[in-house]
Amino acid sequence: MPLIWAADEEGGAPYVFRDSKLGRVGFELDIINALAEELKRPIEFKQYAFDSLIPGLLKGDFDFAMNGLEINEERQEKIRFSKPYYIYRQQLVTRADEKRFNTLLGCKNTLGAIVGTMDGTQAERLLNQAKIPIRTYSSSTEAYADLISAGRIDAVFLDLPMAISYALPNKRLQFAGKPTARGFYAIGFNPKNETLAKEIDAAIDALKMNGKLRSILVKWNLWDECQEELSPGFLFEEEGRPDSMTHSILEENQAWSINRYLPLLLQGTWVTIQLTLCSFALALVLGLPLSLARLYGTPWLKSLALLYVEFFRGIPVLLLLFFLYFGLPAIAESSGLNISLALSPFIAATLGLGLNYAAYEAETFRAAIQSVPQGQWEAAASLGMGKTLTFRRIIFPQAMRIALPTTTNDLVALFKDTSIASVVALVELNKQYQILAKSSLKFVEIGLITAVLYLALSVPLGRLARGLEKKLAPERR
Amino acid sequence: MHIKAHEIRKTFGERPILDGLNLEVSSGETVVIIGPSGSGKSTFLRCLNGLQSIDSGSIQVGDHKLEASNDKRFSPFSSEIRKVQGMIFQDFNLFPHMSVLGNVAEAPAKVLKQNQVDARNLGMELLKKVGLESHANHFPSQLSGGQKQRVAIARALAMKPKVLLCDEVTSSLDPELKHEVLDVLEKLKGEGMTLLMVTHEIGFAKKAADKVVFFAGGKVVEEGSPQEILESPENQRIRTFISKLMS
Repeated sequence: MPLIWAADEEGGAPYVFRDSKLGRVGFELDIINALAEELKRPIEFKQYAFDSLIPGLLKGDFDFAMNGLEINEERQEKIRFSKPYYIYRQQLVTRADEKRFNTLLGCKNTLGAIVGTMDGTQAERLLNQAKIPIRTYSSSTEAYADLISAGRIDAVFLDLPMAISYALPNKRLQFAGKPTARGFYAIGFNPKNETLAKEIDAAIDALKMNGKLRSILVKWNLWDECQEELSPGFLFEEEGRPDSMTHSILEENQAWSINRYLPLLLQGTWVTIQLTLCSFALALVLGLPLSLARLYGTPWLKSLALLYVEFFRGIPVLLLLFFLYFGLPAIAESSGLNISLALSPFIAATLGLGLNYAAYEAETFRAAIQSVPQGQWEAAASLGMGKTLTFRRIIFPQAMRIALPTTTNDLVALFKDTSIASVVALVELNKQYQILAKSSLKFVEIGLITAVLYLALSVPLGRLARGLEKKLAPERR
Repeated sequence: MHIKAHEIRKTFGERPILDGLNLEVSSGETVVIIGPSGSGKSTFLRCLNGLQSIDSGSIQVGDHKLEASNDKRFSPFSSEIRKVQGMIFQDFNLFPHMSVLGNVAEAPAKVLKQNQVDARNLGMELLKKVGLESHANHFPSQLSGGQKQRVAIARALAMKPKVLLCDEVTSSLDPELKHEVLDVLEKLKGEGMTLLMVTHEIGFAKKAADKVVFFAGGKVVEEGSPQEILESPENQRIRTFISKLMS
């Protein structure tokens, strides 16, 4: 059984990210490979949103998380950390022509200066403590890009590895002052998984002893005097500094050509299509009985169906997805149920979107059924047809024709709403775009291609709907 | 088939629509019901067919009886009485998603459980009777008003009714199309069908009716032969009503 390791490719270089030629790379991936060798066990990568790493770990979605997780007290209460594999510091980066300040304090005293950083990082915490105005991003790439080109922010304060990857090779940026505020990166485990944690601790020690950790850090230009602390007293074999990855990262921009990223986007598109079809099927299958319950149910059924509709229309899909994905397993656990409610990302997304859209479809069907003229019921009754037969043969076919345009509009809307599924670690088209754009910095180019892919599906869908509508147009009396 | 309506009352909210109405129709008779709007003519036909409940009184059609019901959840599907009665509506109420033949063959196939071939043969036969066999595969939207109403008649006949209830069946039609529907009805009269018609077609009533009934305020005010009621009415209200119709 391979071990499952979770990280967010979107977080960017140099941790784990997408390289156009080499595929998935990063200094953490190198460490993982060394660990796998040490443990004599394969380790598989699992894409996971950075924000969700700790909930995912507690939920048991994977064996461990390694993604520049800084050790801090808050996290230590929830998860078990391994021995550290890197000592990080924070680096302030400004535009090369910045004259106003070159320290955080100077920045604080500069009127209107805003510092960019990443969500949920130690750097963000420090800036908040220092009461410096900040803007947060979900990846380092975005923060540096905003600093260089858009000028929306005046500096970026982030972990040294990111600064080394992005800012050091860029002539329009400079390091302002020395790195500060050191801390540790370590691997996160579920506290219940002490056995694995101990094994990996031992493997990390081994990598420190045999010098492999050092060579990896050197290769990525991350080795500095600080790292000596990780394993004092051990001798490292000297090796020539191999070509640093840092430069290739900037050259990435050119290297990401369309024949490299298009297959990945198409993969994402396929996931999006599957998700759309499955969740819409669910919405239709649930929507019809709901509409019937609202129209013809006993008073009890009527209010239950109304409750369903009001509830699922009234809460954001995002909340629902989080609940299904992270909340359900927690409920199962705390209530002592012996069943696992840990849904796969695809199932959770299908359920979430399906339950939500069922509420809309129920209302669409209800309105459509009600808009079939009363005379149709009476004509059928006068021919001796029963209520069920009348509904099935006379009312329902007409109602479906009436509902078709609205239903198809909902399908197109759902198709676009699937992008929300990225929060439960599903790599569909939109998520694939984010990962690729942040790896390649080609926000515009890949963004346009992604838009074309969305349009290539939604526009024909809309046309098909209009075609059907004409063909099935209710032949009014 | 003999029809007897006894002391029928029906109120919508506070407003009495049928106010102790009595009427008898003999088998094979053609009865034309006239009267001002709101006098309860349409409601009477709908009650007779069980599409609406009655508050009190009783209705007998052949062996089928219909009693008063106070059930708030009254369903127009509950009644057996319509097994012997067909109904034609002012707005045709054809099934727009089915072909003309589909409209006619639907009830024999699904209610009487005839097989598809028999139901369609019966359908074609009836379409021939109303002169529309060439339109069997058209959809209702492709027909004129008169053609639609003839399809509606064929559809009702498919259930082999003894009585036809006709609720202002020519009111939605252009004057030049009315006769094609009335001709079909006259033909049915000739075959012994009992006809109850709410209509403003005085000409038709004079020609074809056995009895004319004048409704007002939810009651039968007067009934008699077409000559008695239409040509020399004794009642002032009837005179006013008819002169308005003729003008």
